[in-house]
Amino acid sequence: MASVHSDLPLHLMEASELSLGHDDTLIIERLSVRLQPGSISAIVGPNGCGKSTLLKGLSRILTPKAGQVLLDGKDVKQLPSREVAKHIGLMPQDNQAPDGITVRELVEFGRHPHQGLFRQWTKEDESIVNMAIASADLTDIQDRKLETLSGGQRQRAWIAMTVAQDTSILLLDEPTSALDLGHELEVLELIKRLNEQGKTIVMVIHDINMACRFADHLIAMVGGKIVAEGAPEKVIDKSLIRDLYKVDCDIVSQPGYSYPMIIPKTLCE
Amino acid sequence: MNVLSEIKKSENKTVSRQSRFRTSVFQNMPVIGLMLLLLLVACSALMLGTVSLSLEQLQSILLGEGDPLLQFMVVEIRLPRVLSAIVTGAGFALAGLLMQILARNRLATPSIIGIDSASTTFVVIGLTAGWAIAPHWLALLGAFVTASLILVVARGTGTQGHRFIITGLGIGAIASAMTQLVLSRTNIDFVNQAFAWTVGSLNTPSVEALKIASVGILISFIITLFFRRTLQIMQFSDARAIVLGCSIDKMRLFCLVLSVVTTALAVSVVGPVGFISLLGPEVARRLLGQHKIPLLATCLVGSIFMILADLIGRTAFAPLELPVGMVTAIVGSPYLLWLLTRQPKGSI
Repeated sequence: MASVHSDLPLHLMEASELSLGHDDTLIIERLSVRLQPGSISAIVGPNGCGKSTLLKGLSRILTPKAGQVLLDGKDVKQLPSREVAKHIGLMPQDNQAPDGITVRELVEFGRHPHQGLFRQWTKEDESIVNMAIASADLTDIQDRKLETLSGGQRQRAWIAMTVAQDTSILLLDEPTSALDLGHELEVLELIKRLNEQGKTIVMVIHDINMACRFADHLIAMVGGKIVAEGAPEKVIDKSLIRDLYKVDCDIVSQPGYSYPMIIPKTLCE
Repeated sequence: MNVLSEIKKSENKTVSRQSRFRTSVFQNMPVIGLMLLLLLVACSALMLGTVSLSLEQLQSILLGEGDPLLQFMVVEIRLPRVLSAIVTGAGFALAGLLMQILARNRLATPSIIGIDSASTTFVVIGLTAGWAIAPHWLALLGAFVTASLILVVARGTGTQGHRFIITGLGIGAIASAMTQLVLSRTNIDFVNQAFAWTVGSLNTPSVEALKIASVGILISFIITLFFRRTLQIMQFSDARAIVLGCSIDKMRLFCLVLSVVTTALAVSVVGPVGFISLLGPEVARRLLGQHKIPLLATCLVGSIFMILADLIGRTAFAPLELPVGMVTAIVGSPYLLWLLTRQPKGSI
């Protein structure tokens, strides 16, 4: 696979005493977390536990009620918006796109933070867009309209747009939601490849088994708080699954696979 | 896939990108077509009227020769009208485009949020009260006061602009009611004078207002051109726009201010002319593709419509003259109805 930037500088991102919420309700209160540079972290937890809220806070979409998001020790609020956009990319859940846009045009928008008032489209932009398209295996369908693509292809197009932004940190909000098993794997394999190229990846994901398989680091959340953090094989046990989802389960480790597999049994009382 | 084949692939792509130049010329064909059409329509408007001219006559008049009476008619009467139509048409259309981007809604126009009715109210009140301020300054003042009022009442532009539009609807209605009230309680001579300002007319455009508007609208066009890429980003969701480094709140305020200024400048020349702000961007998008921000095409379509509407207004029922605002309303409202009944696929 061609890499976009094989030796990306690793940037350190952390949340310090971060409180997030809408209007008067706080969803996350005084949460501190440090992202593992160069690894894939998966944020897991039940619906409404604040996973997506945390991601929105990290990516500046939600302004913190208190606390800070730090990039290399600097508060992102103090940094110019475009500057932050060169380091932190996010794929939100919504897929609102202008009518009739093609895959290539979509991916080209990813270059926005690198273009200035007077800096026009350059050869570098062109080649990064080409590589982003190639890395998501979209070269053959780059001139097709987004709305004509399958769910998996469309999701890869959105990821390619985020890749073209050429950031070292990629935040992905449920990148595999509403995808079937094949398309889910397709997208996760792409994420894995991006990580191998040196990107720090943080994703919110519902499928706990896929999280264990693809993530180096799990962040488990309940009620706006982090209840467990670490490598999947270290943190996953029956009591954690019960705490997270109120589900009794079996945990099996397969020979030849390093990650645990969760087999849900029943809802617990 | 190995790296080599990947490089080859991207090289192939670079070659195919060179043919993109040809594609871009092809894509700009509608804009070139619109420019030629504008020229054609403008010349027709100079030639046609109670006294119609041939192309040779027009040519000699524009070169400063020919019958002095005809010369006066074209240079002093028809030319200011056509120029005013070009400038204000472009202005209304540009203001409409900005408002539609701001609200992510292709029905949003400055007139829907009452900017032009408020300008009219100020002009009418000023004229009837005998203020010693030129009407076009009153129009500008009206637009700013209203926009500020809407901003304060709606507490900012809001996330989708809905609250802002609803507030504008209300304030626009109040402004129209005030205009009616003032007109109904005033001497008939003043009403006649003020009437043109309530429908939009190019009958006697003020040259001073036209000068100010030309410069102002040109400046806002150039500013918009600089921010074109950011405006495109605003077609995505807020989350994506923010992540791509767009300061969404600032950009919304920017769109609003620019749209209001441009509307106010256009209103100061012709008064409130509806539907150009709706038709201009819509037709331009249809020509150039729904996801583009067709700045130049929008302005060209606006100018063409404005000249045509004025031409129809002064020739169709000659010697009776229909104000340009009435013509655009007669042509525009069926279109608006059609647009409303036809469910749009996307939001913009």
